[in-house]
Amino acid sequence: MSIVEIHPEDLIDKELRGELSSVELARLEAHVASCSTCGFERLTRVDFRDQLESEMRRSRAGSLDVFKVSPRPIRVFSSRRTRVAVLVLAAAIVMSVAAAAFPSVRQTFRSLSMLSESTSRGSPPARGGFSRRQPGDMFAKASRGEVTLLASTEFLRDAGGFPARECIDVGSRVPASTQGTSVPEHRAVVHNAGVVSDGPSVLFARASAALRRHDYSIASSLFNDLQTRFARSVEARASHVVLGRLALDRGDAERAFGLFQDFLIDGTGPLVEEATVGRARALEMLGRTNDEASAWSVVVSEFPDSPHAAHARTRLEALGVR
Amino acid sequence: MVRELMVEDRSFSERPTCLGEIGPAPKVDRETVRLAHVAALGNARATRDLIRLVQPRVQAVIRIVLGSGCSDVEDVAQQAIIAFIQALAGFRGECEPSRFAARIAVRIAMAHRRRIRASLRRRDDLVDPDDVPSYSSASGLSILAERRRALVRELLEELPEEQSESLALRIILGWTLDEVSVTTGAPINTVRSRLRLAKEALRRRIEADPALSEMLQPEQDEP
Repeated sequence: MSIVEIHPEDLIDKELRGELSSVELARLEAHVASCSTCGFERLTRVDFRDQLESEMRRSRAGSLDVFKVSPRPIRVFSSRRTRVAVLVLAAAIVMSVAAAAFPSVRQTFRSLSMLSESTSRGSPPARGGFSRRQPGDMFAKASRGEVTLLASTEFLRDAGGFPARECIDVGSRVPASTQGTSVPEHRAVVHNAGVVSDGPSVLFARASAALRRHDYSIASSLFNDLQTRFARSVEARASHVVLGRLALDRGDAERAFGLFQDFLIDGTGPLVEEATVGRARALEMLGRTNDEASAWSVVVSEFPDSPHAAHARTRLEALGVR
Repeated sequence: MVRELMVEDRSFSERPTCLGEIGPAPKVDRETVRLAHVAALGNARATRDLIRLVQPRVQAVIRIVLGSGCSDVEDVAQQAIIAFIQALAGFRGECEPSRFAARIAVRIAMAHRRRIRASLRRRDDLVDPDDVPSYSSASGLSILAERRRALVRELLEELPEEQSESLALRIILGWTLDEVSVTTGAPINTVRSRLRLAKEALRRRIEADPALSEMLQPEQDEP
């Protein structure tokens, strides 16, 4: 597995919940800049979240009455086949008594016997009052034994036609901060960028949005602007790592090394790991083997549990460093 | 088809789980879990209340997986609800019943898509009219977003079942890895591995077709 295939799924989750800090956002941007699948997942999850919200509203509004069945009176016999059989049996008893007394009734008795026989052989019964495209079809099949259902026949009658708007939703995945709006939060930040003051977080968000559009020149320009105007801000520090990853992916190892090195001079936080690994990869691309070995050694010693540690050890072995 | 799915689902739910390998369980509403257990015993009122509870989510999930242009939504929703009721006996109460129902809905809907696809192949038709994205009906929604969603749906048909289920729960329903792990009963590293393989397939699809890279472009942000 290569380094870029370790996907920061937890960061995408946090971003969708609106809990992503600017440092974490920088980490995510750095990964997404080079990982097409995570970029796709990030966009598509927002798409599906919006659609799920929309469909849930539609379902609650009752536009799709899946369980509406045709109204019909409650009958003593739940199955048409049973009803026919009982009626035929009752008629047969009456006719037997009558036949004993009146020979003219015998012909009618024979006809009824034939009807009873054909019913017991399993000729297809009528659909029992359910129209074709209604969910009663499935429940009817269930009651005929074609589909096993745990609920009783009484339930099947009661299940029809309850108002969908009374349905309760549980376990909604929509964060409270975004309910009632279809604008994803990370886009809303960008949307507000022109209204809110042009602070470091706004600049960072605009640059990140440009990165998502693969508009690298604008992203670089905004990140450079951020570093010039707000050099001491957290966002400006983080932007060194994002730009470093970008430069690395575009093959500009010299610039990438400079950016990672700048960050690592006094960098803190979770981006240190990214920057340390990035620096080592830049040195690898530059062919500075001694420096590269030192850089990978730092990765192994400082971040032994990192997903990059295995790659670091492999490189150290390849470079002949124990 | 419903029976086949449920047999599979029961065997899945009966599989012993190693709780130590599974991440922290999401919060579960005990009342709804109790309702599901009572319904599993055959109580008609509890079953009815439970269906009321899960119905909107099941419908929404099926609409999303099948796509807005599919005319079989109602039928598949019926199958999903029946499958859910049948599967209640195997419901362990480790997640919300609505999640359990959503998972079943995803599986039923994916099976339906696969069946339609197989049927079209047999008939050698080139285009399924139900499968053509209905952009006009998606009022207010981006066409690009619909194209991205269509790509995911297509991928769900092609991937092995475990991978496509994990991908659907993750991307379509937006569940975390822990939630997917708890609901499917698979260790979290297994879920991670399935998703990794699914993403590799996604990457291959994107790389094989340069036109798909357009789908990676978000909508232009307003100035």
